[in-house]
Amino acid sequence: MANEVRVSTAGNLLTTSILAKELEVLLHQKPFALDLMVFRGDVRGSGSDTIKVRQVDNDDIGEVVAEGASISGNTDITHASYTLAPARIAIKRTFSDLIGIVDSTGLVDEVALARYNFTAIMKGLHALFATATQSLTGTAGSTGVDMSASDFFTAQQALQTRKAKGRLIFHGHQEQFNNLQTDLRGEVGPWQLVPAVQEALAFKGDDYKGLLNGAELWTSDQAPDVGGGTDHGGAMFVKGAIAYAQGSAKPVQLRGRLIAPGGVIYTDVDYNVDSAEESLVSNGFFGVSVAQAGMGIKVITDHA
Amino acid sequence: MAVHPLSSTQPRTAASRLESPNLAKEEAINGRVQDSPRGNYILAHPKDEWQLSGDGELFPVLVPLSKLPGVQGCDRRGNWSAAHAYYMEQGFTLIPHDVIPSDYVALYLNTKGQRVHRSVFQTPLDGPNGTVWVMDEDSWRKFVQLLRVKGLVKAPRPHILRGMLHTTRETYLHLRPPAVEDASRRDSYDRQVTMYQKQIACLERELEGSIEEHGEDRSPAHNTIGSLLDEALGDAQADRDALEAARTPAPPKSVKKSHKKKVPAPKVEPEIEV
Repeated sequence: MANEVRVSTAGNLLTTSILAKELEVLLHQKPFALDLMVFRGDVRGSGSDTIKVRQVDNDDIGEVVAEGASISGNTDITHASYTLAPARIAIKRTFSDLIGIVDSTGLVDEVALARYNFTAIMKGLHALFATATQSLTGTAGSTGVDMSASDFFTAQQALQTRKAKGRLIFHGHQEQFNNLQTDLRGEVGPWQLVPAVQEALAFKGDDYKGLLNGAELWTSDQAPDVGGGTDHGGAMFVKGAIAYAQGSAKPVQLRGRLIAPGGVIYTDVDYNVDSAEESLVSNGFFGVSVAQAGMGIKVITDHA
Repeated sequence: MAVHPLSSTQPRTAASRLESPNLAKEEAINGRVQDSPRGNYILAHPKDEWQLSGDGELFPVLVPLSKLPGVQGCDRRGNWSAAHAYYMEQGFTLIPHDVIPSDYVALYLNTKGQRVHRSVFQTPLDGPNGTVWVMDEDSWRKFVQLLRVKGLVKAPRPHILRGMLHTTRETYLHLRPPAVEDASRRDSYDRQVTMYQKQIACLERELEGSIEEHGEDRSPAHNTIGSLLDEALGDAQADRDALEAARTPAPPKSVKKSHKKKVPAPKVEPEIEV
């Protein structure tokens, strides 16, 4: 994915070039939310602001037919579809020259703010992803009861029964993970938590908690409240259950040959000489949908 | 209750009852909280999904489905007709916002001015690390009861409860006492045992009620097949009885013992029903 910076005036092109170089680093780090979903395309230049994805049923079984007999009928290739409609996730930061002058943190500059904006947009996308998990099929866990190893196992068994194959992921609230960890203290034998090592944390970020019985454990405070606030809504699924699409901006030509690059997440910079204030607006266009509801299950357990 | 700012520009659709009842009221802000932004949602009951509480009560699963642009086909202007169609197709029962006069979603602003949508059953309180949300469990129970009475959430059918009962019993049977004796682990184990016992008792009770209400779950062909089988079984039974009667020789007539020469009993032809 790309992550670029544009400017609204040619006078800010110096800022653009600095930011573009700095933000290039982020291109190589696949953010957490995107890593848990499957990518289904970019609406850029497609003529439509939505993507309709048709599902192919790869679980069909051929019919045994006697010699001379006809087969009973046509088997449809596709059996379902879903829609992805990228919408804007944006954040604006404005700071005055004076703030920049007195800043002691070193954070009030375009580079740092653009990086923060990138993270903020990813968190916004993450919130969309987390709410989407609540339309997966089935529920494990007891309402008002802390998450236990049994709940985890029940969810895993349900997915096995449904033949959900692939990279298995549990995504839940930090409290759910805490409760699971507490319950796991009583577990013995091969079914034990393999905590994330430093290398994994560096690669996947600190929301990655480790591996349990073949399932990756991820936590986020974006996990929604369920049951009016009684519970946290986590989920277990295989990668492919939830999909996303994006809309990346086209490069913009400014004043002759000056080109401001486009990208999936881009930042517009504007400086107002009159008020001596600088504004950064970062934008990203994303759409999230449940692709295969049966490839995941909700894990709903006590809020606190 | 606030919908996404863009959605208020949308014409009302067939699903208008599922929109917030009053746009003016939608903008009512309940106060400032120290929390991360949360999008607007509609409550929904996924078909046949029920959950047990630790006290052995049965609750319908009620999940928040997002109405934000970008989720499940909800378009960039907040028109969520595609999402609505998808949810209906998936068997969700959407709970209208006006099911209670005040709406079940409350809007707050966080300290950074972003929108935080929370349930009306949660009360914000100041905590050491930001806002703490306290849940009004009693009101939530009443709300769930209201949904059941209004018929928005249908009582579970026997086969759903049987499935849950089976899973709960299995889990209960596989509970193991802690390998290492430890007071806190023993306590946790004991609590789990009690919880599952209560849950099993609840499910048994609910199953009984469900059978009374719905009758046993049977296939549509059950009555036809049943009567055909009864008839076939009756015929087969009669045939078998007749055959057995034919094979069994008649008991010999009792003859008084005498010193006279024994006369062989006459052969009796078996009676065969035609």
